Amino acid sequence: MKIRTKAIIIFLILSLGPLAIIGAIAYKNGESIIKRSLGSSFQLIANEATERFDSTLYEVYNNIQIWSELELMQEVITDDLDGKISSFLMGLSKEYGYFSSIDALNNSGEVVASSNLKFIGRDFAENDYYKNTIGGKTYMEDVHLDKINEEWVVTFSLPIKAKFDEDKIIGVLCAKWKADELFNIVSEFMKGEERYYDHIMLLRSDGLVIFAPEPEKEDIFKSNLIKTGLKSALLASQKEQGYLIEIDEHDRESLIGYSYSKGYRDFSGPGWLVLVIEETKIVFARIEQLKTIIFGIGAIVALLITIISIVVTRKMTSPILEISRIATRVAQGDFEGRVDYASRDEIGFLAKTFNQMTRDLKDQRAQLVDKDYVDSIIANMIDTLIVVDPEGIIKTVNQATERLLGYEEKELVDKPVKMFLAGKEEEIIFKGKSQEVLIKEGSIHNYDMNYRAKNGDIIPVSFSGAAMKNKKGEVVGIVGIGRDMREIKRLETQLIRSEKLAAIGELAAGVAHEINNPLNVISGNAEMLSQESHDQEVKRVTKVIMEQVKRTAVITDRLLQFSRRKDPKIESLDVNKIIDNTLPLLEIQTKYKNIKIIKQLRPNLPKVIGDVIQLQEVFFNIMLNAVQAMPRGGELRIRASTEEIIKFGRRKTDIFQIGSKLVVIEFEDTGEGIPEENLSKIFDPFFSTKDQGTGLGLSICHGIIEAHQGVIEAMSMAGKGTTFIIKLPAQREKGVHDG
Amino acid sequence: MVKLLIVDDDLPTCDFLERYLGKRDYKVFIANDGETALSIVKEKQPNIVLLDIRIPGTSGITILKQIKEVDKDAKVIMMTAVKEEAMVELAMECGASDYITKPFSLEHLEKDVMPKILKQLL
Repeated sequence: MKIRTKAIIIFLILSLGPLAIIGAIAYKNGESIIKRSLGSSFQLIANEATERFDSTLYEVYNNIQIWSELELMQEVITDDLDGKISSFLMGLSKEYGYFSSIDALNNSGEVVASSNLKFIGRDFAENDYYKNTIGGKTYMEDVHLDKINEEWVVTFSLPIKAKFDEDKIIGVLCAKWKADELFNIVSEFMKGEERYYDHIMLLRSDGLVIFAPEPEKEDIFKSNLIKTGLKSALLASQKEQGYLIEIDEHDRESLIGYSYSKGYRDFSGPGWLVLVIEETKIVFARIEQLKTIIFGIGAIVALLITIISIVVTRKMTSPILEISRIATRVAQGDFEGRVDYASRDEIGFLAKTFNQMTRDLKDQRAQLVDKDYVDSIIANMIDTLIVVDPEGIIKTVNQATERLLGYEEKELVDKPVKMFLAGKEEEIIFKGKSQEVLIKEGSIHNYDMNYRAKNGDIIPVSFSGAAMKNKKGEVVGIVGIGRDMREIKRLETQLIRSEKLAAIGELAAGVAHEINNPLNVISGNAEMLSQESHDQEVKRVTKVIMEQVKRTAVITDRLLQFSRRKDPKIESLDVNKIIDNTLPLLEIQTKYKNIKIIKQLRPNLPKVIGDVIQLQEVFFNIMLNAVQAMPRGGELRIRASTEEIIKFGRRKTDIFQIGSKLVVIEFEDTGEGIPEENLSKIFDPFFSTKDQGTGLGLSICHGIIEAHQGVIEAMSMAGKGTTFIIKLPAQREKGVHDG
Repeated sequence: MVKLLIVDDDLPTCDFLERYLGKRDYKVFIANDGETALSIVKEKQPNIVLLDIRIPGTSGITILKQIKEVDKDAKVIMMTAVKEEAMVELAMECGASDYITKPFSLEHLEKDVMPKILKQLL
């Protein structure tokens, strides 16, 4: 996960968590406050409503009481003969309107006066109100169905007391208050200020609904809510007031404020129960509103926090991300990136440090690249390079050193330098006084010395060395370069040989000429003497003279061949054919000496260009040498094959170009072999190990093969035999077709 | 009698050849240098010239050419010190009739070389 995401998440958890908790608490508090205040106000309304009912009914009751105490009412004794009471009651009924009827009964329970004349004379002695009132008590019958008028009424019944005797009850005044009037009262009540309850219900103290909105719904109107289990109704009937939330008569969850009638002044009241009802869904809409507000504010705050946290996190993490991005580039080798953040805080410091680090890395990398480059140069140097510490311990060698000496690097490093130095003389370069000189002088140049290869070969090198100093000027080692001088030495040898040959040629030409004249004179005179003399002794002696002259002539002849700087004739030649033509010349000797000739000639060899006579002379010479090297018989193997130069490697054949084709002729004998010390000299003029040899044969062969742009070499193992290998450039195929 | 001129700077050579050939029906003249040789050719008109291929001061080939200019009928036998093939070839091209290589045997000269030349003279 990205650091930025992490930071934002942490930020949000830390800020939104508390926000949610605060929101929840605020909501809960708000909810309970709203519920409490609404409940209280519902309760208050219920109280007000009961007070209104009480006061209204008190008023009715009070009026009736006043009326009952009127002097007029004394007429009940006379059964209202003059009808004064009746007319008064009719007037009242008309005036107030809310009475079903007002009756005045005498003490025997007969209606003597009434607002409704048809009741006069009727006997209500059996009625409850009469029975209760005639004893002197005020009686009120709660809302009930008046069977006479078929109307719901509240009956007030008061005793009419005798004027002269308070204790004497002379009649009963009974007023039936129409329950319909409740509707008006409630309506009046509900007309008040802003109403946030739905409806009010009025219950009789026993729980019977005596007022409910929509009175046509008889089932509710007549139902008993205590019996149906409405808790608020039950509580109110137990003279309690308050509010609670419960399922109302319409099966809706509602807030119900409840109260009970407490009476008014001396009026004990009807004992009614008032329920103020509103569905919670509606009444608590404010809570929902509150919820919405809290959620809304919370959401806005959360959004703000999120935005702020993102902005802040971005601001804080962007340099880190920038550093990370640039670090990635650095990892990929791009050191150009810089973090652009110059704040003085820790991140700014980090950015600064990182930039410094990148710069350092870049520099170091550049040095590394340089080092690779230098390493590569050292590795690919043609000359050998060694680094030796002041104690003479090898510290570094390059590939050329490994190649030249045949050691692997690990075999040389940390070993004393003398392990590849051929002699004591070399050793002192790296030690003692010579080293001091070297250090003083700083360097030595082209010092001829010898290395010893792993296989023991002595390798001449031209050595140049320099003291390696550190910044303090202390010598920390010696860097030495050794150039392999073998090839140069070989070329030198060859040059010397060529010069020698040339000098000999010049000499021979002169000598041969000068010698031949006297020889000619000697032999001519001897011949004359021989012809003219008949003495056998003279003839024998002159013959010897002439033979020796011939022999001398042969020597001078051979010598002269060096002076003949003649290029070979240019002909396309079949090497196999030349070999076949040369072999018969040796026939007598090979047969005589029991030598077996084995030919392994590849058929259809490419042609070579050259002089047939000269090549024949070479082959003859070499084969003759081979035969002479096997005085007790043996095998002479003659091979002819081809070779293609694929890469340079062998110094001898490096004169050929890569890709050139060669014809290879080998002569392998099983003779005595050539001692190692002589092997390098066999092509030198006048080098011979034979008693009768002139030492010119192989030298001439060498000259001829060189003139043919070829190489000749000899390999020998003492006691096992010698192999001469001649390599001649093959004629290009095109030349064959042309020719 | 066949007139024969020997041209060679080596006196002993001239001497023994003169002695040997003088005994065998040849009128022998000797020249040790080119100038002498030419004057003899002009004066005596020798039939055969034995000419050394190397004459100090001038080359045998030059003398050969000059002789042939003076007397194209003169048969010239080149004497070479060794088998100097290139020189021999050049000499033959320039009109030499044959050559012998020193040291040569007199028998070879008398029996092989001379008869062929003498035949040509007839």
